[in-house]
Amino acid sequence: MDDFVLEERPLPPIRDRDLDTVLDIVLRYADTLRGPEADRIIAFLEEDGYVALALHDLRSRGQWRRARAAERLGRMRSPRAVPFLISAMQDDSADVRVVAARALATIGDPRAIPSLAAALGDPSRWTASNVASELIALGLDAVPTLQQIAWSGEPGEGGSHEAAVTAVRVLGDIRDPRAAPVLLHLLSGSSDLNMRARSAAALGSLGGSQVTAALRAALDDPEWQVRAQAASSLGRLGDVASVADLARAAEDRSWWVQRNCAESLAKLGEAGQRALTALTASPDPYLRDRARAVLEGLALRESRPGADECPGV
Amino acid sequence: MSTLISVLSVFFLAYFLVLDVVYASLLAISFLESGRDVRRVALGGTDALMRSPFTPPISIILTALNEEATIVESVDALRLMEYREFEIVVVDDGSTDSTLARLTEAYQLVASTEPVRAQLCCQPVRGVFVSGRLPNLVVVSKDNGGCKADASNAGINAARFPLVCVTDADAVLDKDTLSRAVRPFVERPRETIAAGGTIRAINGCRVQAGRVTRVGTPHNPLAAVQVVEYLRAFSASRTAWSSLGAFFLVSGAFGVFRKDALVEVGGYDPRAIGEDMELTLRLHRHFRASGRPYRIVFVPDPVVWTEVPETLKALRSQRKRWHRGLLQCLWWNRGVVFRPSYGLVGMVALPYLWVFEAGGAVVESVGYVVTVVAFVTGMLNTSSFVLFVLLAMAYGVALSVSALLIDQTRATRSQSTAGVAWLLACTVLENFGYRQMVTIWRLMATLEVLAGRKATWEPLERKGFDSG
Repeated sequence: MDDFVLEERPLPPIRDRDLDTVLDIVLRYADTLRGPEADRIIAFLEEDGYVALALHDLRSRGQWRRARAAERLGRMRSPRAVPFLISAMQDDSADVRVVAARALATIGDPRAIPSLAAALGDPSRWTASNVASELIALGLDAVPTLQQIAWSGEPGEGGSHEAAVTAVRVLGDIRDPRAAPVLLHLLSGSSDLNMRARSAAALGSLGGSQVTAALRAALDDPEWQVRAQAASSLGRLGDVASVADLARAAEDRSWWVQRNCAESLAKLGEAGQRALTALTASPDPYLRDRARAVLEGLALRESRPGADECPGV
Repeated sequence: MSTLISVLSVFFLAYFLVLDVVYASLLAISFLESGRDVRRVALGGTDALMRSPFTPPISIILTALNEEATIVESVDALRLMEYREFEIVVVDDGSTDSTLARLTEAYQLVASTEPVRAQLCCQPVRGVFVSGRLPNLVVVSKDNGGCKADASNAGINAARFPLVCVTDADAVLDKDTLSRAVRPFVERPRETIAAGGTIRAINGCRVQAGRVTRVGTPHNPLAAVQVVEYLRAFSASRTAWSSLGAFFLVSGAFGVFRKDALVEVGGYDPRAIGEDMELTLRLHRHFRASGRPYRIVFVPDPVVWTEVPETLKALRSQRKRWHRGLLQCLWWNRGVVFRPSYGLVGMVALPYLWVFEAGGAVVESVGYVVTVVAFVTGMLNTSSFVLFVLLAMAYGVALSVSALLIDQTRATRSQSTAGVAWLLACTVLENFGYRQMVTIWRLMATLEVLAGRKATWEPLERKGFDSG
């Protein structure tokens, strides 16, 4: 056994050209750790100057160098890097901005939330969609800021319309009831079709009597996109009291609304299924076939409880 | 006679000089773009895309005609794709074998009254089937339309998501193909209407459970030379055309489209021989004419594997068909050439296709004839000729090696040294016989088109994959 005892020898010095590789290995290892072990590695990176080096690189002229530095700072989870990464959210390069956003989310510092939320209006939708995912991951802390951004998108409020619409989507995905008043106001009061439709969709993740009443009212919105989202949300909320309204809205002139109404009715228990059965006698051939197809789907799911799980369901 | 040969010699020299400059420019742009893309991919973000509710769901359309041997494996491979939300729409294009029966048995299909909105023209739909096993599988059975375009249109009609991915039943997709291909649609959702990916030859690769598990090089020289050809076409050419905003071919083996854009232009044209290029050019024309900003892009990362012919007969049939398709597309779009309102598509891409792709076969063939005539009549300057041939070959080899280099720097899966060496050898070998043979087939296709002969389509004989 003695043959297998490792000799205690100092590690050979790391050559400069290998530093990047070694740092990557350390960071990969750190990614897998949490708690005191992870803290020790972060402290080591801070003390040994790796954080300072990355902060220096974050001011480099080369955009890829800046992006790489932002990515490493995120993985180093250094709180010291937060203000610098917030500045990097204004970088000219979309690649740097998106990596900085991910880094800030990885660090999880609430100071970053306003900058991240503002980036929902970033001209690069890649950045915006990455930021949106990270804000959803940050969860409840982000809600107040997102509410402000959602408000600010209304005409005369001076905010970015793109950011406001995206904020509404993110609020729906965070599923915090505190967002309901803002979303209800936007659904009933916004002059923007996209904003109303997104609010209707987001409210489908929240619930409450006020929400279902507003969604039922939205089934009469002049725009089909809003009616379709409202129909879908009522189904997701499982609001049995909406069966009559959905059955009426299923006669809509837009096929998309018809489809969403039929699919929502299927989620509303026996009352919904009875309404669907009645729709199979509709004079509208699309609605008739859609109602039949939805009922067939229900029967199929009930007869095959062990159906394979797949994405998209 | 002597004057004629001199004039022709100057013409050939000028032609090849311009062609070489064009190829060198495309290669340089590809190098730059590829480097940028490799760095961008290294920064990650695909994981966020998988989590993000902003990632658009995709309908994968798989057209199948008499694919009983592979259809279940193809669907099984697709259902394991790493993507947030997708559905699989299989279009059985009136198969006369047991394609539908195999699907019914494997996935417990039942007939559905699911209404399919006929937004695009296609042959009558016989029935729509849903699966008791896979909630995101829909099978559309229709009358045979005689072409893939018709089947694809039926699939687009049945698709319920805003993005559609059109692929072949015999194509093998990498598990992350969709998440890579969708990136341009997430980056610029309003403008991006179509995206194509890299098609690679599957011959020589090992395939297990519908996935390429080992990248190999085919022993068959005919297939190996085509591997080099594909690398050149995708790594050194399409990247550049895409970056210029004049990407003219989203391959039929794999393309992601915005469904509303496809519906707006009327989908695939069943009359087209090369339906993929015809659709791409029609999308360009339509969106240019309407003055709306749009993008049709090539994304090098999503890799799709497909079998290339290993017999001369199959290869000849494929190449003649491709060339006839090209000529038809060019003729249909002749009104766009040199029209500034069509941007670089009209000013550069289509003239390039006319002069170097369609005209290349004629110029090269005439060149061979002139060389023989000059040699027989003693008017050939042998030393100049040999120098020209050697230079042309060296340039071609350099181009292929560069394409191979770009591919190797991007490759996420390593290839054996022997395999790479064999491909390098093929960059030289293709100049002796293969290139001339393909030129003659393309010339034959041109003459057939001029003579008004109708195209016939012989499906490619599939050898199958090495699944050992």
